[in-house]
Amino acid sequence: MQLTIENLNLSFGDQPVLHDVSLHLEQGQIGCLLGSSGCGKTTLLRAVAGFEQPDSGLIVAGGLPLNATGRIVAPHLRNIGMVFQDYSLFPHMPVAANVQFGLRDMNRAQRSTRAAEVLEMVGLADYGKRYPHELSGGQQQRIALARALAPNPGLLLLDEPFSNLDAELRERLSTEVRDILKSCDTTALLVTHDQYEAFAMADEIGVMEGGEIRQWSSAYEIYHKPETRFVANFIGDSTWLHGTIRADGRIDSELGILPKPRDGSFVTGQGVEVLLRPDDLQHDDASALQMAVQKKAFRGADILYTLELPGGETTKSLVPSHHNHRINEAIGIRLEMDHVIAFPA
Amino acid sequence: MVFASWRLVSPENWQHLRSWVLPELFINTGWLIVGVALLTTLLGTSLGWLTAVCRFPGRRLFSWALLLPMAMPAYVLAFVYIGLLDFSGPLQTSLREIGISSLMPPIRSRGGVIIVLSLALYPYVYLVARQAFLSQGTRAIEVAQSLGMSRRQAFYKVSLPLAAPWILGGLLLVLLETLADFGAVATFNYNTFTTAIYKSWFDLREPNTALQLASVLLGIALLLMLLEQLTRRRMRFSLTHSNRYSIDLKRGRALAAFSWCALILALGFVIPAIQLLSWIFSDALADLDSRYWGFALRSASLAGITALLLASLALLLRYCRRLAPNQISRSAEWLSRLGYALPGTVLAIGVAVPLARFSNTLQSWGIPVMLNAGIGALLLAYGIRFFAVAINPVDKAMLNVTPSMDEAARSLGAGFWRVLGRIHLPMISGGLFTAMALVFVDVMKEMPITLLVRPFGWDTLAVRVFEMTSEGEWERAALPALAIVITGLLPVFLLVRRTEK
Repeated sequence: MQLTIENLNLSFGDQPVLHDVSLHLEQGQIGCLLGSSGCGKTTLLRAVAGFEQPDSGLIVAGGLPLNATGRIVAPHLRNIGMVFQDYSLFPHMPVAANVQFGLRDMNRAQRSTRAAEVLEMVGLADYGKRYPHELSGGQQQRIALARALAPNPGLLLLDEPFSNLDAELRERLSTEVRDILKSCDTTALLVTHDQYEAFAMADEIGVMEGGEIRQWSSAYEIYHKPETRFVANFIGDSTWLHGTIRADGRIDSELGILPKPRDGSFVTGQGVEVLLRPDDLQHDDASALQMAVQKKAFRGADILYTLELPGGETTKSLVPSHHNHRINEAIGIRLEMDHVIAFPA
Repeated sequence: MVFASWRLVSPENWQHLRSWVLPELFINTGWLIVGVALLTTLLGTSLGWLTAVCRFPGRRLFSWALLLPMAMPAYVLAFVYIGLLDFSGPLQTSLREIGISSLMPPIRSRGGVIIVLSLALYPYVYLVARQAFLSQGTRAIEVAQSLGMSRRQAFYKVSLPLAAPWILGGLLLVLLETLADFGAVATFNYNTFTTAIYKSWFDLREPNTALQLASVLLGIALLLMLLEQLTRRRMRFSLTHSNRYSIDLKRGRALAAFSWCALILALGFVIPAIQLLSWIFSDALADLDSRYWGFALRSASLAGITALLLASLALLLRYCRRLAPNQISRSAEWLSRLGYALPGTVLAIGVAVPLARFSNTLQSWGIPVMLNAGIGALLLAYGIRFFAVAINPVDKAMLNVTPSMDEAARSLGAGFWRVLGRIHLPMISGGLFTAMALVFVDVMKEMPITLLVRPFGWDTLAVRVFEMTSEGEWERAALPALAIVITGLLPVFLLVRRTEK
């Protein structure tokens, strides 16, 4: 099922929550809404599910408009599944009955076959007779997924599905869930505040702030080609370097001459801020460019050094962990910037 | 309604009340409240702390058995102890035979009423105090100890203050019950507002006096209710669950703890229960006749109907609030909770007087109705008094059904009726059952409303107990009392099952 949202606006009373939101997902794609709490991402998800009514704009799923005036499709008729943050398993039913709850058009035998199928898929084939409170958090999460997938929804919505789990389980489950969704070829839209979860799962990521989607593109693009300063700061580690546009379009900075910025029209002599990612600054003992180590954070495979720029400001560099340097020691740095991202100062 | 009676006050009448009746009532009620408050706090807090925090032989047994006195209405406890300890009772008689009668203080005294009411009501404090001590766990004590306090200091500076709002909440319930109590004080011939209202209504036939007294009592009850709401607000700070904290009691201390718990359990439940049984088997088995079954049937049918009505009403109100949460349904609910603060006598008069006037008016128009003595009036009064009892468990059960469960069911293709039938009803049926059980038992036990509002000849078990005790026939009151106590055990077991989980 394709999902298209066009110019959606939604408010609670006189409080605007979503402003002019548009996005598109192809059949089988996994999209992710990423943002801090209160940015409207969960509201957007609930509007797609039909639990909130938009003021204006259009939601189209599988070619069917869901909120056309006078023909609003009720939530239970949308063929859209949802996995809730608290899982919301029905506590009075065993797992099998929970999973079968959405399978109304089938006879008893078909229902139990389908339930066994999806339980197998989430790796909990033997748990049908258990009750939800007997399961661990990770297992409940998988049952919630199985329950939502059982009726074979055209679109699956997941609201912060892993936020109640510990870090290790979260990472394992997010790749598992991605594999399951891909194997069923289910279109999915997920909400999270954890960018690594978004990176691990999503084909398309929408960074949200203040009820608007600031950028809708792939994880790679979001990280390396942010379209706004907000997105650049929100995603990953970012530091900024002052510079001035030269006559040939390249940038003069205290780290030397940088290539022409990827986007944006700048005039000669204009001051800019250049985005530096820790992986843009490579450690190279032979480099003439030397910076003093101000702080270091050991991360196992690598060390994140905070370095002092000649002008006194700081930047960060990610260095393989066997290059162990002391605080205040000067180390050689080589810039490796495939694409320069600059915004007007 | 009750306050409206002031319009009808004749000054001389009020003058008489103020100078002759009210001082005695205020002094008696004041002593009663202070005494019961002190004694129930002492009993409830000490027993709650012992069974929650200390380890000693019998702790597991006591932790639930100490709730058993809840099944014993105060008026039953009252007549059992008077029968047992009065001048003609078995204890005094045998003491006189060995010549040491003067050592025994009279049971029919202020102290006697206070002790009996406290024995019947301390479980309210015990229950909340125990819960508070249990759930505060080790963390708070450990923090205090790490800051240099001894265990004893930590108890007074941290544990007790943390539990205080809960204890106070339980205590206020106790005081509301004390104010409302009619049966026990009547058995003791101890004059309070409730007995005075009863007398002026029934014996003296002065409805206006009754109304005025009721309004004074109502004022005191509302004041307490207000206090209760205030403490509830203070209970916001949370008690986090962490490891259970426990103190091992050794030899002497363990023995002392055991004896204290055993003493209260014996006084509050075991001795009275044995006395009831012995009276029944020695004197009153003959009363087990068709008349008795009539009392029981009337009690049970009144209780059953009220339970059914209130549970449905609670469900309906909850549902309205869920579907359309607004100010009106919320304040309607708050008002309905107020009903629990109304002493039964006040409520009875508040319902009976306007209905009597209304039916008089109708009769003066030539319409022959007898609303004042109708079953409807009785049910109405029960309903107002016990609605809060019904709505609490329904409320708690509804809380388990989170809004996202509704949404989960909807997103799985379920319509309104399927959500109702498959999700809501199965999940709240337990709460509904609890609500009905609690209301059932409360109505069975209820005495003053039934006495004042019941239609002529419509005697229930509680009315029978009252009639027999007011004639001093303790033995013959035992049989109906036992039936009430046995039904009363039901909510105690419900409670035990929930707290032991």
